[in-house]
Amino acid sequence: MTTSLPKHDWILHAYFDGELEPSEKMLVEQELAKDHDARVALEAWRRQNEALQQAFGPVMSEPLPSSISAALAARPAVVRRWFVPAAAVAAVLAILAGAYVVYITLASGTAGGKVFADTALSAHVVYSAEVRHPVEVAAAEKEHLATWLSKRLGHKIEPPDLSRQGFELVGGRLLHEDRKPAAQFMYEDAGKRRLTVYVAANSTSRETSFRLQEKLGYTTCYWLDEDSGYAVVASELKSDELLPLARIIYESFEKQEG
Amino acid sequence: MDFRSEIASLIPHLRRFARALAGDASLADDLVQDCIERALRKQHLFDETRNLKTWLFTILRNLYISGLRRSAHETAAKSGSGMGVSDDAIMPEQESRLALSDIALALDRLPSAQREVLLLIALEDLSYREVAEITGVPVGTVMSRLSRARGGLRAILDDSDATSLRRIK
Repeated sequence: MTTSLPKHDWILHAYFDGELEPSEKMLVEQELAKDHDARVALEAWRRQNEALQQAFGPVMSEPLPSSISAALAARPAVVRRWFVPAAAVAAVLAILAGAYVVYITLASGTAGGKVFADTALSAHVVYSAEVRHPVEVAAAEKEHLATWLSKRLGHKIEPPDLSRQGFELVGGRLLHEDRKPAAQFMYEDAGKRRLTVYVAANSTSRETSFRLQEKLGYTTCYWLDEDSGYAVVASELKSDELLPLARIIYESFEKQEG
Repeated sequence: MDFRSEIASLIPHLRRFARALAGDASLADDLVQDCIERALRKQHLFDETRNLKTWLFTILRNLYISGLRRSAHETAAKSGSGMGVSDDAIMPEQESRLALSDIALALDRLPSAQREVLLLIALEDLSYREVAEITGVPVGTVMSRLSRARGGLRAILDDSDATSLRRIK
């Protein structure tokens, strides 16, 4: 754990917040008996906590504003998009119509997602094999890369940081999907294994959770969000290695979306 | 318990955190509303092996941060020439401060990176690890922010005691 704090100080915080093992706790308590300043600090923090609880605790029992209860009761947009028309039809054709809509939803959703995953896969196959020109803008110009692609895609997009997982950014390029701009980021680990992240507009009017596809020796993990589709492709990673990376990438894009 | 009822059970916590983070009651409840809407839309992306509480706090915190960024842009755009940059932003805030307790005032003066860490730990009783996950920084950074926040709060509160004494005199 790297921290600029003196060891003494953060141990005291950890003690106060109940983060220590029983044995460590005992040691701190022995020290405390001899350390007047530390006892004063603990007392000040205890008063801070108390003041916070007193100031904001009552918020928890305030009556819920109707805007919040309404948000909680609302049906999610995805479901509404498909099932409201179905309900109208169902008035006439009850069960038959309902079943048909469900069938269409499933069929088109799967197909749309698969097409998206295949596009991401093609882009990976073509560009990850490049030795001299794998990317248009290299990682050295990361800020320019992010600004440029954000401008073209029409929303903020930054390459996720995967360095803690051992993958360094190589760079990125502008691509196209369905007549719209799309982006690809490329990463490489110490063993020269390459991974690409593909982002394009979601043209399927459908959202999906994480889906995995193994094809031609490549593993693709993709998900379709409200406006965008995302895919992570790698050739030498199995799905159990790729999925945790995909989650980190998902969270990173979530944060950028705000 | 289904997803919706689980969210419902956490709303009091979300509201408390949002209120302390944003300072303003209606802004805080807007954040909670946006957070719930977003969580329901993104339900398909929630990893069920993970903690729903930390997931919701993460969403709310990110909404707050991107709101801050947006209003910073708007303020910058409005002030144009650079004259009187923050006059608009500060005046109404100071008025509404009259009704707030000392601790809320002190919180308001902390940098938001320190404020969120302090609130998640001291008010919401989350672990350092959970807070690291929510704010997307290493545990060491959480601890140094926490330490600075507690130190800052002490300094501000002591200072304001001194100021109010001076005022009385």
